[in-house]
Amino acid sequence: MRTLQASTSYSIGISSVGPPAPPTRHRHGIVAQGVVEPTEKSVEIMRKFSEQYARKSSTYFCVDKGVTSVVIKGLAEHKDTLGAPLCPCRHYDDKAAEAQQGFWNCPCVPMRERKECHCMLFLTPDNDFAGQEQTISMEEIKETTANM
Amino acid sequence: MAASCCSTALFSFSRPNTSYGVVSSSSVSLSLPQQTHQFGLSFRAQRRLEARKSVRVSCIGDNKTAAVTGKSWDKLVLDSETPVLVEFYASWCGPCRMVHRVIDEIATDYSGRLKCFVLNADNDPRIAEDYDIKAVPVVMLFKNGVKLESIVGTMPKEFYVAAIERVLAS
Repeated sequence: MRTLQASTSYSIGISSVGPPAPPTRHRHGIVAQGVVEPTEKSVEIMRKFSEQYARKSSTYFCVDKGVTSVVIKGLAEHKDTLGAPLCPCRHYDDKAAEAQQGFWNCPCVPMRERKECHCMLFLTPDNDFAGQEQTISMEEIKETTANM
Repeated sequence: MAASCCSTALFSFSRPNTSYGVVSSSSVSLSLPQQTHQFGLSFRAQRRLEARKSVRVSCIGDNKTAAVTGKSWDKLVLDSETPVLVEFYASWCGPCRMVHRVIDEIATDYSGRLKCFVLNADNDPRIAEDYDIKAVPVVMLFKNGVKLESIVGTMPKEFYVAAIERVLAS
């Protein structure tokens, strides 16, 4: 699968928006079980990006905006800790190296090439879970992730 | 509680990730396209409606199924006399929460015949790497310490049930 990267330009990745922030937390060794909340600033950046990219790619958010909200927060958390919005729906041996490499930074290569988002953030209209919206408010994100 | 608030939530027949989400030769995710054709359009349209209705009633974060960790893995999974289901997930994986709800239902439906656990791959990288976890969610089924099934992605409940029945009958 990694051979795909040769044919791909990374220039439109969201990571190009600003200089990557240095990692602020150690991800190895003893890891706290609790989920760390992303900064509101990064959530807002990823929220706007998601709306723009949905319009640009003619895809729609999940009918369950809770899924959308969790993924947006996951992207924001990775942006905070890794400096890039690495896909939160994968497991990585080395997150920092993956973020640097870029294949799974949102919008990932499968999304850009084939509109495949297994995180269900960007759904094509024929997907059973696709809703009809390309917008999500900060309030919706807060509301649907309030009891996490 | 979860069983009553989220039934029939998962009918994602046009799931997008079959091409890169496979973890092992025993993975069943590749057989989904055939199933899609088999059901035909009217079934699909009906399911779509049901899916839309039911996912509105969301109980994200309300996970009932017990967790397994690297420490308890051998005892709870490999040494279990009852077949075991494990859902691998990541902290901020939206679709994993949909699968959680289905697994919660399955845990109730198969009480006494199947033990169900969830494992946070972020917190237990060693186990995740041992089982080559890439895309999440991944649902694995174990019997007598052996992994028999591996399902990658967000699937309809029936899909998991079919795999469980195969394992129980084996």
